[in-house]
Formats: sequence, structure tokens, C-alpha cells
Amino acid sequence: MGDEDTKELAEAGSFGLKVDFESRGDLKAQDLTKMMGNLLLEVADRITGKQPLIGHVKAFIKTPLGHIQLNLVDTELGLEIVQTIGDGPITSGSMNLMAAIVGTKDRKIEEAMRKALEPVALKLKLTIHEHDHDQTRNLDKLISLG
Amino acid sequence: MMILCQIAGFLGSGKTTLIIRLGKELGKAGKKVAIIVNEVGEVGVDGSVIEAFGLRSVELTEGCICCSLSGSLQNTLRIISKEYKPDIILIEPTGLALPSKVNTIIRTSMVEFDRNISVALVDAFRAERLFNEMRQFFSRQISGVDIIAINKVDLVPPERIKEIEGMIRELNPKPPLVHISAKEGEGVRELMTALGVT
Repeated sequence: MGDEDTKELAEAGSFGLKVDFESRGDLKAQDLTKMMGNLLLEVADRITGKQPLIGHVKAFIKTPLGHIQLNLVDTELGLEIVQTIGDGPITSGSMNLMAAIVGTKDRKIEEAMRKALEPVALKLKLTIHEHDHDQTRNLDKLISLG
Repeated sequence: MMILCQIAGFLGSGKTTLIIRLGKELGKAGKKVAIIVNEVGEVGVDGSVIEAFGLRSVELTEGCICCSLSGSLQNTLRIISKEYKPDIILIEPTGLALPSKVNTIIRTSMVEFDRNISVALVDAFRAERLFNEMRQFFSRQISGVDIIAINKVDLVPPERIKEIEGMIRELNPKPPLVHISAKEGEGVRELMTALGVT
């Protein structure tokens, strides 16, 4: 396929984190959604400032009570949120965070994401998983259903 | 025989939302569907989103299936086609992939399929910016596909869609154009008909 790397071609950077969390107090779905929405907006702001984003910043938060899906594609359009968590306190869960943005480097996105997590860490106990380089996930699970 | 369907498009163009729509519709029609989702970063989000909607997906992360992960895509296609035997495999490349390169990788995968179809999604809300700021890359992302779907038509006025059609035609005059809103479901049945997967 040649040596062409499309990420380099698009001059894009990317970074992702998988984080487990436990609440430090009473945590409702709306609080978690707001907290995570602010995180995405801060990542975008740290990368592009007043310039519009070309790319996206997204998060998927899984809890025993349901999930929250957040997507930021365009700061003018704002956050897109899907939230399926009902009433009741959230005690723990996991979140996948990912950003791919044109005109920046992986390292800058990593710095922005880790910095944006700092205020979240005051409210939630976070365990950040350094990634496992497992590039193919769920293949065994799928073929077991065949 | 199996159909391969690639849903390509730039970052944030609505690929995952469309894949979920198509996966659910095809499932309702009794088709056995497998989804391969690729993310450029180390951590995948789209695979989790797809699974939250009750669909099964295999996630390829940390690279792009049109370049650094081309071997992983071919291997995954071979295993899925042999072990899972789906009617249709929906492939979501990263938002930085070039569909024509993915097609070449599929053709050389030694996987038997009846048809290989590719769709390029264009985000109607951001098309003008992509056209102006990333014209060459945008042009390559919509070349070599069977259908171009202008997505998020619910977010822009009809006259803007006409302008976007003009921009697309300037870069690629050949493939049919369809208008959809994957989020609202608008035009998705028509897209499925155009793809011949109903």
C-alpha cells in the first residue's frame, strides 16, 4: 500500500485514554455528564483556542446504571450527548476518551487531555490505564457467536 | 455470498451513527451483520458505542486500516468470513482513511465476497470548511467510492446542500449523491436501496 501514512498526510494528531473511576461522594448522571462535557470542551479549547476544531473529541462512559456518550465535532454546534443512566447514585464506572484533531501533534493532545482530567480527579477517584497495545479487540467474542 | 460495505468519511462525519442505523435495519431484515470499527488512537470509543446499541463489533485501534493496520484488516476479514459467516460486513475506517486504499486492501485480502461497496460520508455542516482548508485530502477521501452520502442534512438549509453538491461534483463528478441524516434516520432506507442491501 506504499509508505503513505494518512494521519501524517492529514497532519493530524490523536490520543486516547481508558480510565476507571469511583465517585468520592454523591454522583448523579447529570453531574457526571456536565463534568465530562466540560472535559471535552477544555481539551478542544486547549488545542484550538478560539479557532474552530477540525476533528473530534469524544468520550464513552460506562456505569452499572447505563452509559453516557459525548461527542464534540464542532464547537459551534456544541456537544452531542446521549445519556441512558436513570435515577440513582453512580458509584463507579469506566470511561474511554479519544481525540483526533487536525493541525496538532499526539503529544499536545495528550497534554491537553491529562490537564483536562485534573479537575475531574478532584471529584472522582481515577485509575488511568496505560494502553495495552492490543490492536484487535472482540474478535474472539464475535466468532464465538458464529 | 457475503457483501462488504465500507462507510468512510472524515472525522466527525457521522460514520458510527450511520453504522448503528444500518446494523439495526439489516438485523431487523434478518441479515447476519458483522462490524469492523477502526480508530486512529490507542483507545477506541466507537466500538463501545456500537455495542451499547446491541450490535457486535470488532475494534481495530492504534493505526489506520488503510496504511499501518492493513494486515490486521485483511486478517480480521479472513477470520470473520470463515468463522462468523456474516451476510454483510460493515467496515468503519478511521476518519483519516482513504477509501480507495481500503478497497485495494479488501481486494487483496483473499476473502471471497459477492460485492464490495464503499460510501463516502460528507458532513454537510462542515463541508465548506473541509473543502476550503483540506481540499486535497477531502478530494482523496471522496474518490473511488460507489456512493457519496451528504450527511447531517437536518442541520443546514436546502440551498446550502445544493452548494455542497457543487463542491463535491467539482472534485468527483461520477458517483451518485444521496442526502441523509443518520441521526434522524432520514434518507437511510434510500441509501440502503442504493447500496442494494435491503
